[in-house]
Parts: sequence; structure tokens; C-alpha cells
Amino acid sequence: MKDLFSILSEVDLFKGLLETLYMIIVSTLIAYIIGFPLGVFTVLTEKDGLLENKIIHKILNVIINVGRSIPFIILIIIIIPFTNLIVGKSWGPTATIVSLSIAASFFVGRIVEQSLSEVSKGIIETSVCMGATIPKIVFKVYLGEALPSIIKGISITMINIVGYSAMAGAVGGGGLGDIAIKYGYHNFRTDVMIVTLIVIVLLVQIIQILFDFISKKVDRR
Amino acid sequence: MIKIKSISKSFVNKKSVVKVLDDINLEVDSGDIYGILGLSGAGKTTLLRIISGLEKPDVGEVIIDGININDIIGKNLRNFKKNIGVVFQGINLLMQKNVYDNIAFPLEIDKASKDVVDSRVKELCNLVGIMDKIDLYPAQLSGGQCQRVAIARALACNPKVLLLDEVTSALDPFTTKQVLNLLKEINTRLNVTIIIITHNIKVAKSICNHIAVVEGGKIIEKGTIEEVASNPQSDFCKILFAGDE
Repeated sequence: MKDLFSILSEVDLFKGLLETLYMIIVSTLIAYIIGFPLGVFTVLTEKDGLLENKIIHKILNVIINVGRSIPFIILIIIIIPFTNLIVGKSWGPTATIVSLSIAASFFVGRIVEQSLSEVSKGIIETSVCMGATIPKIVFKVYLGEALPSIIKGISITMINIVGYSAMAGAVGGGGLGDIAIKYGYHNFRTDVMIVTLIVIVLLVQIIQILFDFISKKVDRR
Repeated sequence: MIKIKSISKSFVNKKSVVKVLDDINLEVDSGDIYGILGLSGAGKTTLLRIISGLEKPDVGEVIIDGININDIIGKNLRNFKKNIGVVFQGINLLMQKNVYDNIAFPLEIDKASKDVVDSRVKELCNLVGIMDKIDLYPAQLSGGQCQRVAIARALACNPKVLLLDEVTSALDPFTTKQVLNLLKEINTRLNVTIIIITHNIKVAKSICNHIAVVEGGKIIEKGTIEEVASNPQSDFCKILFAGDE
């Protein structure tokens, strides 16, 4: 086993970390752009919701469930043509972002739905009685009241994406997972594997602590 | 000013149809404090939800100031709702917003200017006696203080009617008295008609001038508080008022 310094001179761990961060941040953003409305409309169309609609609610639920059932490694493969169309290639961090974003969108849809469901029915109805429009209720009441929970959801999403991105490393997705698999598995470099793992664990810890802190900070309850 | 004409409402369960309100007729005059009295499950809250426009009756109509609230929809309905202030059962404040922002919320919906919001919120805080709590969050307030905020918020857009659902049921006797005094003051000073739902006969006696007693979805007795209290007709009211003496 070589010392840490020689490992770092051999393997560009820093580049891997940057690639992983790039994948996490961009995929989380895209996943929320797609998944947030998905969660919001699932809540709005539920029974006794502001836009109660049994059929649309069912459809949204099926979309989220089916999306979440597809194993990530299979999702990467089946959307290769789509990824090629958007990014122009099917490997590397940017290509991985396509599949990460799609997989995480369904996940985000579900956890946003759960966060919004925690908001009390009473305050929603009171807002309706005040003459608030639905967008106003969504942004001011649902979003405002569920904010701490939504922030916690972001960290869960990000940590999930860390795991997914490592899986993508198996098919040349770039990032820390790619390094761990390429060196640690294919080249029997246990030392590299361990160092990479430590970086991933630290990354997950930082995300968790950071978002728990922000969530607590904004929570007035 | 409020006419409730032969309202009925049923809810369909998986197995059966439950008639919650059965041919309810009420007339509330401007300036009244009208108590709707009854046990839990009698249909009081459903009645209030119908008056507030939150729920539609199966049959019958609610006429407020000559306007049938089932006839108006969309933007007109949203605007009309500003005539009705509602405080539902339980604490329904924005928990992530402070007292100021809670009371400002209906004004914000009404697109009032910042200056108008500011002066109105402070005026209301003074009226309900929570000026010193204006920057606090609901979690930092007592139950009575929360109800004061809810009442101030309901009054924000100068409603003609205030609908209150069990606003004192979670409060201790002393705080209850304070909140009831506040409601009386609002009624006389601002000339706001109040409809208050309660299961507590003492609450009804201390502030209502008229009451309607609801049992099993029907109004079994109504009139001025003196009439009903001194000469109850139904067995239900006889027991209800006798127990209080």
C-alpha cells in the first residue's frame, strides 16, 4: 500500500471530486425543475386538493412510481440514444447528468409531494377563504410552510445522486465512482478504492450536515 | 344580512350516505352575534364551511348581502370572500411566518400597497392587543395569543362578517373570557356581524344575542338567547340549559 501522496500524484482524485460535484449540482437542479411541479400537481390533484382530479392524480402517481422502479444502471443504458441526442456522446460526466436528472426527477416528485402533504389542511382552507389564488397558495403557503422539509429533501436527493453517479462510473460516467471502479476494481488497487471511498463518505457527510443546518435555521416552529 | 335558505348536505361514505345538514334555515341580521350551538358531529362546522363558500350545499342557498354565493365564481368569488373573515378550528396560522406577516397575508392577497399593509397590520395588532408580539412566530405564542392573531388576520380586509369555529374551545376559562371580550368589542366598534360556532353554552350565553341549536343536522331551536335559555322547548335544550344553571 502506497502512501496518500503517491496515490494522489498517480490518480487525479481532485478532478474526480470536481466531476462528481458537477454531476450532483447540475442534476439536482434539473431534477427539481422537473420533479417539483410533478410533486406539486400530485398534491393539488389529490382528493380534497385544490385541483382535485382523480385521473390526473393517478397518472402522476403511476409516472412517479414507474420512474422510480427502473433500476438506475438500466435507465442509463435504455436512454443512451436520448443522451446521445442531447449531449452528443453517452459517456463522461455531462452525459451522466442526463440519466441522473431523469432518475432523480421521479424521486424529487415523491419527496416534494410528501413535504407538501405535511402542510396543515386548515391553513390551506383559510387561505382559500381569504381569496388566495392557487399559485399564491402554492408558493406562499405550501412552499413557505414546507420549506424546512423541502430543504431536507434536497439533501436526500443529493446523497441519492452521489450513489447513482458512482453506479454510472461502472459505465464510464466519470467522477469518483469511475475512479473507484477503474483503479480499485479493474486494477486491484485497494488503496485507491479506500481513499476514494473516504472522499465519498466525507462528501455525503458534508451535504447532510450542511442541509440539516440550513433546514434548522429556516424552521420557525 | 345573511340568509341561509333550506340548506341540506350529505356526504357519501364508501358504504352509506350521511346527511350532515337537513333543511337548515337561518337569518342573521347585521350587527348580530349569532351562536350556532350543538354537540360535536351535529353539523355545525359543515354549516360554517358552507357559509364561508368552502363547501357547496346539495340544495339550498346562502345569501350574503343580497348575493347568492353559489352564483359567483372565479375572480368575483375571490373578491367577495374578502367580505367574510374566517377563523377555523385549531391554530391555522402560517407557522413559518411571524405575527406581522400572518396578518399581512390577506392584505397581500388583496394586493394592498406596502404602506397600507404596514399601517393596517399595526392597527390590527393594537386592536387585538398583540402589538408587543408582532415580530414573534406562532410557535412562540400561547393559544390565546394565536387566536388573537387569527382574529386580527380575519379582520384584515374589513369584512362585514366574521365566521368563527370553536375559537375558544382550546383555551382556559380566563383566556376564553378575554377573547370573548375582544369579539364583543370588535362587534360593537367595527360593526362586524359575527357567527360563532361553539359547543360551550357559557360562550353562547356570554356573547351571543341570537342562537340556533343544531342536533343531528337539524336546527331544533332558534331565537334570542333569552328566549331559548328561559324557555327551552326540546329535550335536548332543556338538558343543555338546565345543566348550566
